[in-house]
Amino acid sequence: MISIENLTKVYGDFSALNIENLKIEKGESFGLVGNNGAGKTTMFRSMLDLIQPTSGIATFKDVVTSKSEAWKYFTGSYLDERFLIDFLTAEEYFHFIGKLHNLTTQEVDTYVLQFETFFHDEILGKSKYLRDFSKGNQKKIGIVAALIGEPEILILDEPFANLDPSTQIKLKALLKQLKEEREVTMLISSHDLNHVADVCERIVVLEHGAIVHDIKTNENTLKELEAYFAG
Amino acid sequence: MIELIKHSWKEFFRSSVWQKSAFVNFLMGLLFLYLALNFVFLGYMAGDILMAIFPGESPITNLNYGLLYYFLIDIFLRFYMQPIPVLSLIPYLHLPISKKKMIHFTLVKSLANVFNTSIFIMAVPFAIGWIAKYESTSGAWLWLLALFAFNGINNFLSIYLKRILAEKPQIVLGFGGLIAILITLEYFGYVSIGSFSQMLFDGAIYNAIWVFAPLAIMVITYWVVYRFYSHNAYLENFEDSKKKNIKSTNISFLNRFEQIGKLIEVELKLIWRNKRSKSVAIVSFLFVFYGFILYPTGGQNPFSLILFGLIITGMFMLNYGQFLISWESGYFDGLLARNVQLKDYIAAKYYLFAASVVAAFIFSLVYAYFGWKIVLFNAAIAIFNIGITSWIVLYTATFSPKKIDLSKSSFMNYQGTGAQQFILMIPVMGLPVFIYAIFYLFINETAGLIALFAIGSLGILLTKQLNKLLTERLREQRYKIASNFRE
Repeated sequence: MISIENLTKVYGDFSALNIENLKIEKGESFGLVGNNGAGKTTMFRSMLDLIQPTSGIATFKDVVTSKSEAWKYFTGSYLDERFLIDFLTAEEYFHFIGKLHNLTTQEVDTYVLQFETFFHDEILGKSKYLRDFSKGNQKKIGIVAALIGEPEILILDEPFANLDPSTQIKLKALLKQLKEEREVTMLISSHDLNHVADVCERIVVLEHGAIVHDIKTNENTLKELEAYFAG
Repeated sequence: MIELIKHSWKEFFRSSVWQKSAFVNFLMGLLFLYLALNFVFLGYMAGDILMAIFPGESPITNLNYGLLYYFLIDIFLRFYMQPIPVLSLIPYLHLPISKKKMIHFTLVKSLANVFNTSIFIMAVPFAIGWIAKYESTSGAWLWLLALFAFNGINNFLSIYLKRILAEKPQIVLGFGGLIAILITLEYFGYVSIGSFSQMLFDGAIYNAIWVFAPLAIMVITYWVVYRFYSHNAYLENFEDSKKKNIKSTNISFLNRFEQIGKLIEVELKLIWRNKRSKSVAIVSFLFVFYGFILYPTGGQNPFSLILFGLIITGMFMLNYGQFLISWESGYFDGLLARNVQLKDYIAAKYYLFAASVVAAFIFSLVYAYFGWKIVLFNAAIAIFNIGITSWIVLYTATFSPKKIDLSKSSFMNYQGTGAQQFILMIPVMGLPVFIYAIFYLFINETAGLIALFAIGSLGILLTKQLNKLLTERLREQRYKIASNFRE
C-alpha cells in the first residue's frame, strides 16, 4: 500500500530524515514514535509532498506522491492547524472538503452526523469560526475532515495530543473500527506510548531521522518502548 | 523600567516587518524618508500656500482657524487606525511587575506612534519658519505646546473610547457625521468652531494661560484612561469580549461551477471575514470612484487615460493580487494535502480577478459623462487586464510569497511585503503603456487601442494554455511557498 525508498531530508549538514526502506501493507495500523526532533513530522510532510525530500520517494498505491496528485483522492490526513481554513465554520469546512470529493452538502451532513458522540456536542451548530475553537476541538474537526471521502490511507500527526480523556478513548475506538470495517491503512505518530501500543499493530521508533526499531506489537511492546525511552 | 524599554525596542526591530531582504528594507526606508521630507516641506510651505489662498491675511491666524477641525477629524480617524497599545501588556500580566507601572509605561509609549509624530514633523517647520520669525520664539514654543496638549488629549481619549465603543461602530460613524454637519454649518455661517479655534491657538502664541487649559485637560484625560485600565487590566478584557454568532453561508450560485466554484466561495469568505483582506477589498472598491477626481482634473491625454483605466478597472486585482497565495498562508499545507487540483486553484483566482474587472468596468461606464473616449479606453484596458495583467499578477504571486496574519489591520502593515510587490508594478503599469505607445507613435491612437484590445483578447482565448503554464510553475514552487508559510 505504502512504500518508502531511500527518503531523506537534509537541512544544511543536519540530516532530519533518512529512511532507506519501509513498506506498509494494506490495512496495517502503523505507529510512529520518537522524541522531539526525531523526524516524525518531517517524515509525514515529505510523504504528503509538503516538503521536497533531498532524495527518495514515497509511493501510495503505486502513485509517487511527489510526481502526481492522484494519491490525494484516497488519502486523508491531518498534521496540524495549518490544514484548517480558520475563517470557516466547522460545517462550511466539512462541506468544502466534501466538495473536493464530489459529495453534496447533504451527503457530507449525513456522513458527519455519525461522529456526533466523538464531537461531544462541541462542534456542530456552534456558529463560530475554526480559529475560535479550542485546540482540542480544532483537532477533532481536523481528524473528521480527514475521514471525509472514505480514504484508504489515513495519516495523523499526534492525534491524541490536546484531546480530553474521553475523546482520546473515543478516538481509539474510532480508529480500531476504521481498521476492522474498512481496512484503512493508518499512520499515526504519538508521544503517548500507551495509545500507540494500544491502537497500532506495528510500531517504528525514529531517532535522528532514522528507523532504530521496528516492532510488531505484543504484550511486551509497551515495556520495551518504555525501556528504550528511559535509556 | 529600562528592561521594558529594551523590550519595546526589540519588539520593534524584531518585528516581522524587517524580516526581509536588505534591499527591500532600504527601499522602504527611502519611501518613509521621502514622505517625511514631504511633510517637512509642506509644513514649511503652509504659510506661503495660505498666503496665496487668502492674500493679505495672516497665515498663522488662518492655520489656527482650521486646527480644531483637524483635531476633530484626527480623533475620528484614530478610531479606525490607531492600535490599542495595551495589547502588548498581556505577556507581563502574570509577572511580578507592578501593574500600575506597566500601564503608565504603555500609555506614555503610546505617544510614539505615526499619528503623533507626523503632525509635529509638519508643525515644527511651520513654527520655526513662521511663528518664531514673525511673532516670537516663545510664542512658537507655546503654540507647539498647545498642539502637543490637544494631540495628547486625542491620543489618550481614543485609546479609551476605542476600548469602550469597540462594539458600537454606529456611534463612531455618528461622530463622523456630526463633524460633517459642523463643517456644513460653519460653511453657511451658522456656527463657528473656526473662530473658537483661532482664539485658542492665537491666544496660545501670546499668552501662556491659553496653553494651561488644554494641558490640564490632557492630564485629566490621561488620568481617566489610566484609572480605567488599572481597573480593567485582566486578560478577558483584552480579548474580543463578545464572539459574535455567525451564520454559515452558502453562495449557492457558485455551486454550479464544481470545485472551482467552491474555491471561489472560500476565497470570498476569506476576503470578507478577515480584517486585513476586508480593508484591502474596501479600499479597492473606493478606487473605482477615483475617476470622479481623476477625469475632471487629470486631463485626457491617452497615456493618463490608460493609467486611470488601469487603476479603476484593475485596483482590486492589483491590490488583493499582490498578496495572492499569501492570504492563504494559514492553511496552504491543508490545500496541498487535499485533492485540490492546482489548475482549479489557479482558475478560481483567475475568475475572481476577471469578475472584479468586469464589475469595475460596468461601474466605470458612468465616466462616459466626461467623454466617450474614456469608455473606449476603459474597455480596452479591461480586456487587457483580464487577458494579460491577471496572468502577470498570478505569475508574480508564485515567486516567494510571505506569510500574512489576516487578523491584523492593513493600515501601515507591511507584513508580507517583499521584493515581488515592487517588481509586480513594473510590468503591470509599464506593459499596457508600452504597447499603446508603440502603436500610437507608429500608426495612430486607434491602432494603440486596437492593439491593447487584440492582445488582451488573445490572452483570454489562450486561458487554458496559460493556466497550464502557471500550474507547472506552481508545482515547481510549491515546496518553497509552503516552507515560507511555515516560518
